Amino acid sequence: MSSIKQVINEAVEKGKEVYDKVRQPNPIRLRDLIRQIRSAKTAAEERSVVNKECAAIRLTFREEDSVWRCRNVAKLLYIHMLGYPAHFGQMECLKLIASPRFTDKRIGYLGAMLLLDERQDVHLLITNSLKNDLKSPTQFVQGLALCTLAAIASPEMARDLADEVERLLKSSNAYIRKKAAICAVRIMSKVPELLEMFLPATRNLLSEKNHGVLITGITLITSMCVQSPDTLDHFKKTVGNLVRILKNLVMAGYSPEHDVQGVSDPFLQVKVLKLLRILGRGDGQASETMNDILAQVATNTEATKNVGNAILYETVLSIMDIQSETGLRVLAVNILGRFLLNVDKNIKYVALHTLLKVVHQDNQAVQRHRTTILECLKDADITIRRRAMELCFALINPSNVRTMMKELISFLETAETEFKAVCSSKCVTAAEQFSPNTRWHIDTLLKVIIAAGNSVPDDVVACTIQLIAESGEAEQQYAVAELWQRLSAAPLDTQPLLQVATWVCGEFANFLSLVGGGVSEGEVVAVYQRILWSSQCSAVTKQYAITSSMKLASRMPGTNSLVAQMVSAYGSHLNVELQQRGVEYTQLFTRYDSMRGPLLERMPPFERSRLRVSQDAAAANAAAAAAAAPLANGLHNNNNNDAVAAVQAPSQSDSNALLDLLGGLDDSANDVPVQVKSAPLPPAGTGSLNSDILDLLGGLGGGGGGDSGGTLISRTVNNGGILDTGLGSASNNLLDDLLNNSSSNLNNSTLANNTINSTNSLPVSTLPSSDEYGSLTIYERNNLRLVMTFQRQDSLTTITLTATNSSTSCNITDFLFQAAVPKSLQLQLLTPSSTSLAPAASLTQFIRVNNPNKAVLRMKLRLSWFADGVKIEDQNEVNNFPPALWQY
Amino acid sequence: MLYFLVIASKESAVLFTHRFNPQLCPCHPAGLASVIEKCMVDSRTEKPENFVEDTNESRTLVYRWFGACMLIASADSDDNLLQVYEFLNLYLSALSQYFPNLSRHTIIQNPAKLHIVLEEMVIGGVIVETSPAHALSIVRLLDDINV
Repeated sequence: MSSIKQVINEAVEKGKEVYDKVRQPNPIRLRDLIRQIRSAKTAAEERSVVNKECAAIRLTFREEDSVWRCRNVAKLLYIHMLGYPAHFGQMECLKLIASPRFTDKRIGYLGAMLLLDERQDVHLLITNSLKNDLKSPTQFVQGLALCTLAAIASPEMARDLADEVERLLKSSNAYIRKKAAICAVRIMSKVPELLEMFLPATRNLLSEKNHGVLITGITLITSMCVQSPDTLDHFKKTVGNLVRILKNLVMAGYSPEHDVQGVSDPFLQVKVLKLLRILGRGDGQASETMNDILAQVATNTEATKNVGNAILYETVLSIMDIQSETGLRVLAVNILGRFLLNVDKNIKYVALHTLLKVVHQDNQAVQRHRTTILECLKDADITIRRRAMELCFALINPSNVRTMMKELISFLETAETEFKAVCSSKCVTAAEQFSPNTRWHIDTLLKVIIAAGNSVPDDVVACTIQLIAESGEAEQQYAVAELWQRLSAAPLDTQPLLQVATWVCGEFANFLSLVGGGVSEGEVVAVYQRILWSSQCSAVTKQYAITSSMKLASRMPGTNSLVAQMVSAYGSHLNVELQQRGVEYTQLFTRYDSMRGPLLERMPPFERSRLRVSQDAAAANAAAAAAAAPLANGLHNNNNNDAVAAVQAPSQSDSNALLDLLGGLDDSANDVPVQVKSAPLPPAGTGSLNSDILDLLGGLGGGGGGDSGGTLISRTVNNGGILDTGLGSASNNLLDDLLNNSSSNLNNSTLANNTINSTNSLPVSTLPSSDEYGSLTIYERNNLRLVMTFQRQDSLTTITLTATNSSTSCNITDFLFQAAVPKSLQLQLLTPSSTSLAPAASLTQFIRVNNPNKAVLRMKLRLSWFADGVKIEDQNEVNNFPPALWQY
Repeated sequence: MLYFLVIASKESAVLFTHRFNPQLCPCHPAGLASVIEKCMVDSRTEKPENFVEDTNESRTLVYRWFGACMLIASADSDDNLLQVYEFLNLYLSALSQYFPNLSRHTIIQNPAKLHIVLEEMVIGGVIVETSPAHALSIVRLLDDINV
């Protein structure tokens, strides 16, 4: 028995020894930890030191060791400061806060401020400690608590402690008042309802002498004004006080406490100016009161130092924002002009930033600094150049477009690649908007393409081609001459230029003979050969070139044999696209030679119906509205013919071309059937040589060959059906018809006739029923119900939106539905069947969504309408589309 | 509003960090490193301005060299950046008044003091005290309470 006892005792002794060995006697000091961490050579080494120390700290925490708690939390803060997670120390901070020792409390609060996250339980505990400390008799303990509360208050804490803070806001101690005011700001931002509670206490804040209280008081009033328009009115009467404060600061002599490089408390001045701006916005009377002092600040502040400029900057913003006198505005814009010329880059940067903000309010004023802004395009600093470029585009107007564009193009030539794409796109938009004449427009676009080289985005190429295609003959001739020059001399590594040049030279090859002394057929073919056999040209460029060469052959018969040779060589090209082209075109030369002429006819000038499916979701709304208009025309024109082609774009296709295809069909079908005969395939006349359309062409050419290329699916839809009963009523597959007709009627070789016939006769085949995806009610508020039904073909989803006025008496007018989808999707909103809704009536609108990447479909909606003359606006987000729409 | 303040050494090492609003700041070493790297790269460009866009587009990093240390503050892009730039100077002048011989070493060894001084001047990202003398008088008073 005794031996067992002995064994147990021995074991316990041994255990104690081991425990003492493992347990470090004292935790290392912060100083030593810092040395260890800093001597770590690599990130991994540092991490291992940190991990080891964290483990040790955890261990002592677990032992409830209160002697080293303070030291451990300090070390933990250091570790956290380096970016490592240290949230396990939160509870220890709370324990320190509860300690009666001030040093512990101080570290505890510091830790709480830096370590606390959103964990509820910890918040509950700290609220209690805070409450106690806010009632403490010592101002420093109160100060610590206020400071912490201002940094970490959660909504619950804000509610629980607002009373205490309000009481302290009226304290006689400036130090406490200052901190209480900043606490109130945080509390209000977390729980806006509590604003009213602090309102009475703000009354005396502006008559303070202490700058600390003044600055926090003004911060408090500012955030109140921003939060609630009512309070804004309430504080209008304080403008006088603020003006006085500012005047004292400007006029006051040297005060050592708040002097920064000879300026009296610039931080306070900036705060006052900010509040004045908010109070004076849209208020004539308030603005008038502050005009004088703003002028005084603007003229008296020294602009040689950064502090002075910080104040001037704020003054300028205030002057531009309030209803200031014209003279004052001129003064403000002149200050910005001086900023722009400043050697200090910071000030230049800020000036450009401000001008960008101001340019929409007062374009005329900013125009005065145009030359200086243009100078900034040549600045050595990239950020300055970027800002200057944005500003330049905002400044373009019809009267200065020539000079501005000249500068921007020379900027484009030397710009970094990252600028080129954006800049060239913006150039195109600006040229489109403000071009004085077509010749200039063409010139500009060509210059842009040349200047931007390979960074030109695809849509710029398409735009240029379209512009040339729809311009007059003289301009086309000019473009051919220009482009031929480029084409014959151009280096082969600038793809966009080659694409435009080959398209234009092919399409208008008949003008080539008029260029200079006339271009011989041999020269032309040599150039094409150079492109087609070059290893520098991309596949897309070669696609352009090979189709262009086909056109060339039909316009310049002398080149026939050489072109046929080139084309047939492509029949074995490694690139599948090019190979297909090669094979198909060879067929055109051999078996279907009779079709070749009509097939390759000149495109009819297509209408400006470019669909801009914006990449930018924010711009999507506007873009959709813009695109809807021409489309609507198409729909209306078509009422007689009952033919609308709805075209689906496969992933890589260019939607511009598709709408053009639509436009082309409509026009020819409606107005000029004769022309259609001579130009059998208007769809092929799309501006860019879209591969899908080439497929269509190829399919036709190949005729009975069977392989349609098949990436383009189009269908005709009974137009009446669209408007009344939705897509499902009468539709057929245009492509099938085109293919069937073309193969069976090849002898007639009047393909167009068949196309038109088939669209007119409208064989009916039903689309898959929309029940497949069910219907979705996306909105049901304000007496309006929106229901969506879906139809999908490959990546294209057609959504039928039915809006119903569910009220019994209210008339809805000017109904506007806008939608945006994620960037990887493309959205097209068609015109609604009506924009007004009588009680219980409904309207339909079609939405097309192209989702080539099978991304999850989400949609943001913005709705606006007038209900009995009262405007209603609403927004909504739809996340519950049936997954079958993109999972297929 | 300020989001955080970082002091970095010439070698891109973190000497000091203070997060004014823990929920809105990078909380891992890599995030901090990228912030510092951005400013370092920018400061080496020819005639740079002292503002760099943050990863979060609505914020701008404002940096300023003081000897071998770089102070970086992250602020709303719409803030008065020149003022933020000036504030970095104000903070450093407060520090140099507090520590008689302010050096890199003092910054490394006294993180808690740096936090406390900063806390007197900025709370929750808002500047509350513009006079270093005032701020320091309080800090010194607190230092004396060693109970």
